[in-house]
Amino acid sequence: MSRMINVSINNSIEQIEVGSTVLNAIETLGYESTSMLGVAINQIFVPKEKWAETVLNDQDKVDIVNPVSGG
Amino acid sequence: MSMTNTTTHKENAVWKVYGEELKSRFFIGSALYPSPDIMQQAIKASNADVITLSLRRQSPQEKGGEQFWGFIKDLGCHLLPNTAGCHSPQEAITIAQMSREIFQTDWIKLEVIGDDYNLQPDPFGLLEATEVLIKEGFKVFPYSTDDLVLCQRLQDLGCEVIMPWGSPIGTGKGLMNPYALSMIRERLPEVNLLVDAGIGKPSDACQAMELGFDGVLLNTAVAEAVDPVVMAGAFSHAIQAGRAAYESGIMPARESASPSTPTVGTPFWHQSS
Repeated sequence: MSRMINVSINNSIEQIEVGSTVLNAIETLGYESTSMLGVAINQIFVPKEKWAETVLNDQDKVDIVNPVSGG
Repeated sequence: MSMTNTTTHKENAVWKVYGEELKSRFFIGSALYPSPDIMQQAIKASNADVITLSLRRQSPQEKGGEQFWGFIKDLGCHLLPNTAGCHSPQEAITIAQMSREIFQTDWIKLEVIGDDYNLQPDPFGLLEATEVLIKEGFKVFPYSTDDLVLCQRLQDLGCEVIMPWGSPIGTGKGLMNPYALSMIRERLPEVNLLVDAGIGKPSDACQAMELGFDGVLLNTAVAEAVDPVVMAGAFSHAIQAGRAAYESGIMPARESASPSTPTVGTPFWHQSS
């Protein structure tokens, strides 16, 4: 049985497998398209080319954002 | 930068912002409109070359981001992503880095907010974030207060554009302190200055341009107008009028009256005998 860790994604606690990468999490959560998504872990930007190799740790705080209107 | 781009007023004259040529001195926001369709119509009516936009969290079920992007990308405007809602330099820096990757632009409207009631910029955080982002190659458009020293420090860090507030975001109070804005214009002649925030009506925008500011950024005053599309056009005219007035040389105000009609030959005056 895989060990699970708790990660906050957009302020919602999610249980994911140990060793999951950012890309794993995005796919597991069901984001259909990644072309207009941005990711930060613990307020630090993670470039898209690093998603597949950046491993999430227990208690990480992840923000996944997309374009919205703004003034 | 104010008077060096054009020496005489010309319709559709271009000006340069971080090396990009723009025709319009109107930067417009994309938020608060009654519908995406009205947003698009208002932006077109504004003749703006620059649109502001932002980043927010998205859940997998929401498709809003891609839909919104679809409404914006075909307008043919320069994108100016903002760091709205950021309260620390780190938050603003991270949003800027994400914006650069998503929107493929180095431009960033830098907001580091110091007070949740009046959404006033945190001057210390703003300087800290500006220094980092300039070093990382961003073209920073700092949202600032009307403090001259703060604006000077921003220019010293390498900002070619500075955007002092007219009044707090969304208040529509116009220019709270025209004197402070005019001092910034006078003391920082080489930098592009835009009044950003607090504009309520076209005459506010015209006033900012008459002071010699290079442009105006606004959102709420158009989006929350009864008719945003017509209001966007009104602001466009007002900004052009203010710029033309500034370039044509506004007469100085006087303390005493000075008749415009010649006094020589005024009838009904007779010398006493």
